[in-house]
Amino acid sequence: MASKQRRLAGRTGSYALLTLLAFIVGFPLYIIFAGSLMSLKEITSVPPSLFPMHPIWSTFRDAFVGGNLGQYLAVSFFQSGIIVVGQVLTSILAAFAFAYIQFPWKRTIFVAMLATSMIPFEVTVTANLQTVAALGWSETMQGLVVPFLATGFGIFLLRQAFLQIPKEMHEAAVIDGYSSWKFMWRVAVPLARPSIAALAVFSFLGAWNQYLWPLLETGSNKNIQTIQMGIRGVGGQVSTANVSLAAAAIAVAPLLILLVFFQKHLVRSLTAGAVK
Amino acid sequence: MKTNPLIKILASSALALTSMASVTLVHTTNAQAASSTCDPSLLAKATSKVNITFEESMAGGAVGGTGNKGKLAALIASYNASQNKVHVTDVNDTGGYTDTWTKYVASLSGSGSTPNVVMFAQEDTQAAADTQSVMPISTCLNADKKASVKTFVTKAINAYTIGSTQVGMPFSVSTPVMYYNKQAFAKSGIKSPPTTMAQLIADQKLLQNHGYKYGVALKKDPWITTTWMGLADLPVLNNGNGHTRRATAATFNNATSQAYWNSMQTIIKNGGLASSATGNITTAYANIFAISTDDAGITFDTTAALGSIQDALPLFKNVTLGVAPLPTLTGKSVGSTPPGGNGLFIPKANSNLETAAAWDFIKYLTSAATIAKWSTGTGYIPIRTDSAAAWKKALNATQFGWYNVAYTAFSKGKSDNATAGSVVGAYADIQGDLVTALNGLTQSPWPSASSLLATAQNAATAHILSYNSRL
Repeated sequence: MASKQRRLAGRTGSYALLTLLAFIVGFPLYIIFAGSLMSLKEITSVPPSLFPMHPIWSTFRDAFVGGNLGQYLAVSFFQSGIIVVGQVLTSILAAFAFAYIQFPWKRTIFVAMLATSMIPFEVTVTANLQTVAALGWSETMQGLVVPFLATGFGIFLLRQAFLQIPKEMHEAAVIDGYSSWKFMWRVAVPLARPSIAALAVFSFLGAWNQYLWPLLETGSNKNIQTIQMGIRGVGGQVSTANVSLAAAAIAVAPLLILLVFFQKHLVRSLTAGAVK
Repeated sequence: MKTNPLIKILASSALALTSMASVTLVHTTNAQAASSTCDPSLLAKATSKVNITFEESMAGGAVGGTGNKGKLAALIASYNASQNKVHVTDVNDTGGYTDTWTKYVASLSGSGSTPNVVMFAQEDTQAAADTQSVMPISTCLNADKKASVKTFVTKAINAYTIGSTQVGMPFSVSTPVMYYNKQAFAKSGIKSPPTTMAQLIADQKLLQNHGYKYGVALKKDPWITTTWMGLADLPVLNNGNGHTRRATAATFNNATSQAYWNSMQTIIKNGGLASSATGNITTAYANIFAISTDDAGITFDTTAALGSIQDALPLFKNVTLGVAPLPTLTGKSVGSTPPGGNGLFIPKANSNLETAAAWDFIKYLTSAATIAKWSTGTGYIPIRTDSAAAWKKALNATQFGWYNVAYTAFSKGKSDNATAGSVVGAYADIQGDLVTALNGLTQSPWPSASSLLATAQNAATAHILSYNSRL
């Protein structure tokens, strides 16, 4: 009886903590959406209003049309899409090599590759800018995406996923005459699908939220400016606080939709290996 | 199991790309054509239109294309239409001065996108000069017999001058002023805006007694303190506020600054609001919003906010806006208000022809007629005395009453190094030191103003010396 009570108390405590954490994560998002529907008077009221009494939907139109967010969103979808495809493909190939192919200095190269994930982007930004300029890609879409087509984190994540595939499966494939190429696409990749999906989501999040690189790389080319740059130009004045919030809500919406659809894969990938 | 050669090649390519993603080789870039002279006559000899870029940081409203960004774009369009020698492409940095500065510094590494004319905040003047990448405006002024800055407000020119060299051209000037709600004053029996800090404290009590919770809303903005120093004709840095020689120490800890900070602390202790000077719109303007919500009757903020305050006013029938000079310790000032705002700079990366075009564009933007237009409705105040008449004509009586407070504070009074504002490379660090001290000043356990200012001054001096040692 006592242990049952302890379990109940433990479970109640866990749920209380999770609820609190969910609130901490969700509240800022709620404020963005609620604030975007409020009048300026409601936004500035003390104590702050939590619910829009008379929702003003026109703020979204003002942000979208006035801020030309359609173009910024299109650029961001294109840029993020290419980065996701690039990172997933290069990560699969490199991770597979690290997991299944024997070659000299494999471990050293893997550690070196992993080390690239430890270097903050700000450290290499000047070198990247110079390289991109030397390639003649300044203020172009290539310059915006190519430096991000591969990621040490992605290779590490997928290598770990590939290593979890039972050895027996690999041996059976060899007996069946599968080449490495065939084994990778027909066996390893389908089995690592949750990790690949998680990598795709992380890649998209990273690409979508980039600010410094697009700021420096797009220069004067307004045609390749991304949504994060676009929303900074919306509102920016006391009288348009709700329009600024609407722009932020528009920018964050694709990420929320993505998370809803890929939530299962994300959780599965992150917990894979936690329980044997 | 055999490994397909294709997979080996692809795997190797993926690895190579990974290394590029994080650590790329540094390539030497082609030296850009650097401008060594400013020869305005080159433009007349140009056989085709010169295309130049202008990188600026003005914010814009999404609604109806209003905002300073839209107004500046209109001026650029007007310049392009007015002549056939130069075409200016506007590059707006939505993230403000910081983004423009970040982009500019990055472009110096050879990424190939250095603008032909660039807008920097006044406080970046020393740092811009230290990059040795901008052509001093003095060079163009000396070379152009027709150009003169005689009708500019002297302080505006001094703000961008180091030694005898004018580094940048002033364009927009704003200053902090006192905003108050006339309806709150009437309700609380306050006859006129306070002119001394003691009156401000007394008026806070009156406002609080009549339902205005905070009475006074203060913004923890170091700019207010440095403005008070200017009004007292006291430099915040040594070596003529950095204008005569490179500054080597901060000097803002003195009896005057301590008296102001003591007053501020009293206001907050008495229940006043101490709002942040940074953050998003709702936090950075919390002091102004406190007026709109009838929580405060008085606040201090920049005139640059006047345009958007004016836009928002119709929503708040409870507010009748009043604008007055900042209160001082004695009600008088022996100095005057230093200018804030931004100026225009010409990168040396330009070719000589681009420099000539850039100079022509700068002359247009800072002409008397353009400055009069620019100052109308933006919240910035005229930097030229010969713009003031046209500017006044374009405003209605109420608007003129508001803007003229700042213009008078800026254009009248003593003009020397202390009132020209400081020039220092470690500006952002010094601001940070003052913000830390202001945060301490406005909360329990209420450390003394003198100890906080002393700590901030020491930290600021250390930052200045550290910056100087890295040059």
